[in-house]
Amino acid sequence: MHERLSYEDPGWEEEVRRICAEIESVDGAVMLALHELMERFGYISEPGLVLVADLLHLTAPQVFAVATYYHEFRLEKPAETVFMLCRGPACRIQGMVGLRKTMERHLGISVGDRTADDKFAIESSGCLGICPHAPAMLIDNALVGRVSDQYLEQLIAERSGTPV
Amino acid sequence: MTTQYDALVATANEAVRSQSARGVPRITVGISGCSESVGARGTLRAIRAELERRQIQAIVEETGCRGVCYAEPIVDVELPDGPRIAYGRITADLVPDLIDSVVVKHDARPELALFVVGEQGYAGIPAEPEFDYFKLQQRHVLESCGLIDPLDLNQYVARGGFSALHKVLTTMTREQVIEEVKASGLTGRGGAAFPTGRKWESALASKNRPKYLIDNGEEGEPAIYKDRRIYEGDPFRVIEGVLINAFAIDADEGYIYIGGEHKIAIQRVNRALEIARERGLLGKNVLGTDFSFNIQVRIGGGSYAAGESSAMMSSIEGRRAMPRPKLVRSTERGVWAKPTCMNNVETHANIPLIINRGAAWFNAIGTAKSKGTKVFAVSGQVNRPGMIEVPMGMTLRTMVYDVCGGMIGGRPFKAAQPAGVSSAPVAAANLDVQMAIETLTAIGALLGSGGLVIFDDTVCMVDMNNYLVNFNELESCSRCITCRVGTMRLTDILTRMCTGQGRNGDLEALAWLGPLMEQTTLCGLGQAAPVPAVGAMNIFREEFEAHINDKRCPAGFCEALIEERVPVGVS
Repeated sequence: MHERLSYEDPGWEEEVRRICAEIESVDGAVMLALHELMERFGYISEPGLVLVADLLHLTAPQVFAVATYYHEFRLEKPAETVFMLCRGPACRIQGMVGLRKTMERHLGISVGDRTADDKFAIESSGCLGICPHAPAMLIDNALVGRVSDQYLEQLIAERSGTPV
Repeated sequence: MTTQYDALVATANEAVRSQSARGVPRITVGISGCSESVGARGTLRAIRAELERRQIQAIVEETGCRGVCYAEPIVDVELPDGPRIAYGRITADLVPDLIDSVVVKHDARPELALFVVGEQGYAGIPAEPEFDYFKLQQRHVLESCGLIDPLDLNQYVARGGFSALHKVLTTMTREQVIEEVKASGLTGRGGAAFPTGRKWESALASKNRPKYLIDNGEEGEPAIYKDRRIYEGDPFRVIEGVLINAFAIDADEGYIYIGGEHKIAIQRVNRALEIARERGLLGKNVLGTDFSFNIQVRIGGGSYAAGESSAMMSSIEGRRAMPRPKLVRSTERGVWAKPTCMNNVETHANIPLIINRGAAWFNAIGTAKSKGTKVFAVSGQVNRPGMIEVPMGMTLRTMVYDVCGGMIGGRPFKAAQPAGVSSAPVAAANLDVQMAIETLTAIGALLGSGGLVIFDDTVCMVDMNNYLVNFNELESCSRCITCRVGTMRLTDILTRMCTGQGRNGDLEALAWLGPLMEQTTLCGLGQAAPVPAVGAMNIFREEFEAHINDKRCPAGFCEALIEERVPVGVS
């Protein structure tokens, strides 16, 4: 795992150049580049996207078309904690409806929104694929199965405080 | 003369032998996306810490997933000269106790154990074949998943790995390999069930160059997770299958396309490819023969549509994963407009078995038209959800009540949803249907790629189908108007029904949209999008009508229809 970089860091352009130089010779490399940006920066900024297009000899709209098509690519900086709940069939019938309400009540936002302080966001996925452990979520990009109300309440309480 | 393969086997056997000769306990933890979500990494850390604290010498290894998902995290302990025993639900807090009793005091702790690996039970713990969950399974594709360190090539080779590739490269012609696969009756495990041998035959016949091969591991449909587990648990088996495929069709370049969410699968496949390259199994002159082949990994981005073959080809080319018209077969004109042969991960994982044990062995398993075993991902309201491998044709009833331990709380079985979002449900009246391609088709359902969600009587079929059509709406590539708008209309109708806004004509609209979408969309995904809802409406007509006419949800799931009935002042 790399340490996260920020687009505000002075070296960000160098990093994108390094990423693209490595894969420039691969045909159809744009997805690989966008995945690398996600990994390093957590999202794909507009200048980042334009630079990728430039380095891979594509137009910005071509890269934009790809970046907006696939669910995994983010074009905005994510909230500090993203709860991605699973909408899949097993989770739906095994407790997700209740968990969603717990989250919405504690955070005061609905699925698809983020809190005004950018601390939390609730998102959803079509299916996270760990169905035997329903209800499931993706929290901090890690899969969590057998999620309970208590677990969520504790996590929200811990992270609502001032970060150390 | 010693061949490169003989040397590989000798090295592998020596490595495995010297490891067991160390005379120390061996402890393995199943690490997969699935087990990780319930704390398996914490269990592994706790084991390392506890061994360190007690100064115990032991071999600690990661394995993949056995499919015994309901009992994860799973830890195997094998003492020197003792049996290998699998323990279930070993969370980090249980580790000190487990190590103290099993490793230090030699007490096998039968109450924590699941089964003993192998044919012999121990201390009242059943042997693998007697373990309830495994009893009726036939585990061939999954035979090494959860048992071996997925990234230890020696363990794979010591269990016969790459012997099929060696056999193919040294004793068979391309045509003979294809004949064998054709004779086996293997059909594609990704959902379309096209005969694999026939696909290979037309791929071999294509003379245009270069010729590509794709291993399809996007697996973006709901409630299915078998391909990523095969990658995670036994990546070399998939690589061997891909290499045999490449030889058979005389391919030049290979891709393994893995769904972007399957992080552990991506890591392990990448690493396994590196190892295979280092050990002469990939690249120039594989195993010292004149066969050369390279495989690149491509990562999806969380798009269901990318699992469709032509959409995946667009994705590999660095574009949106949108299906394209198939005026010419992809074995003629596929990725980069060149001949391309695409197969599913499970299909590839079956190939080494067919080569080693023969087409007749494979052909004897299954039903008249569906051959071999099938891996199913079972979830929902059963006591033992997980990934199972059974002969084609096992009845749904046996799967639910015997393999998966019956319904949670003994509630009645209402329906099963096979094939992700592409099939009509299977109702209780059809519990005795054989789970095979032709038998499911005969009752208007589909086998698909092996997803299976089990519903009890608390599940509302209107609500469930609202989810299924909504999934299709969000995943539609939007190319065909009837798919883009049709899935929106289906979602509108079902959402209204679930919230008490259903009206006369809704069911007729569903019945009209179904065939319209099936006839006017380009790809299989669009054609299948209305199928579950229309099928459910036909089977559970009364439930659908109750939502519209009485504003009532008989299963008691749709909240808007329940709260309305709660008297004011009571909450």
